[in-house]
Amino acid sequence: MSASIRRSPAHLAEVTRLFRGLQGLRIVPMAVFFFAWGLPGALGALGVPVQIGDVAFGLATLAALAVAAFAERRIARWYDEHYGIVEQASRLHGVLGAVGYVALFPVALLWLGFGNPPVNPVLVLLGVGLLFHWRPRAGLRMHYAAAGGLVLAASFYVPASADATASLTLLSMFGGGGLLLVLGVLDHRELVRALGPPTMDTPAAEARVSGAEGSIVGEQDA
Amino acid sequence: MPESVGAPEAAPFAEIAALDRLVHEPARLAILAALSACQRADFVYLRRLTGLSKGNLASHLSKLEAAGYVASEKRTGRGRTLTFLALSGAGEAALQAHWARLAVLHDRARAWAGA
Repeated sequence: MSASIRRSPAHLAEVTRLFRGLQGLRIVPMAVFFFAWGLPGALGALGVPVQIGDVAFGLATLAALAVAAFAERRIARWYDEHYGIVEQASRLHGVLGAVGYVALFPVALLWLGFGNPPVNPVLVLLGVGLLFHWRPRAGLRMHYAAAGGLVLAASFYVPASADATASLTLLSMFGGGGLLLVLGVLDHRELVRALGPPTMDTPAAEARVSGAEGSIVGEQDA
Repeated sequence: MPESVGAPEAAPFAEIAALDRLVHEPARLAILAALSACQRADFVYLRRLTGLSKGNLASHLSKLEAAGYVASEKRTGRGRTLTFLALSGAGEAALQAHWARLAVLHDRARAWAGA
């Protein structure tokens, strides 16, 4: 019996459900983008002056976004070829939930600007969002629990005032990019643990469908 | 032996005999469980998930398809042909019935062991 089948069917179902999310390398280009975007802010916070013109910064941002999007598509294709494809039914409530979650950020920023909250509400939202990705019953994505806890703890220490928002924006991009990078690599590691190291099937070696009834005819092992 | 003594003890074994073997086989149960968690998945993914050889996986899929539990669909693109598999309504019903039967069996076996 293969190693994967020794795992419970519930675990295999959860891996299938999370398959897209476990393709962690797909978020690496965007993480690097955030990381680089926040670098001037991080250097500024350390007292290192960084002078970048607005036009140059804008053009570099657009170019970097295009490169990140292209890289994401290439990596997605790599996953398709090496780990296969899983299609999920479009779930309206999931999309609405995500939209609702994103819509809470302006509210949190407003509260940060005018309400003088006891904790940083933006980080609280981020922390809760990260915890939402944790799947404790299947023992998957434990790193999201750690990351969520870390961000929630940080919400008590990162200044929660209107004055802090401008200087913190770029710095949080830097930190967020770094966090995304780590989470993406850990997601990929979990995928490799569940499905094995990447290998690629040759097209001829795949199962083919034949006959009028469309029955699957398996090829013998090479 | 009085019938009233033997009947409760025999019950779990009667349930075992009633299990759908097409679904109960570990490889096929893994395939059905995976397909129940998505709309459809391709052959490569199922092979990676189960760790089965190509021939074994195709053989199990053929049996499931013959029973009407999965439906296959062939797509071409990027210079190769991909085979997608999806759980049918009958497959979903068979899987749910199997889980329910296992739960009953579990409860009866515990009661039987504790008796």
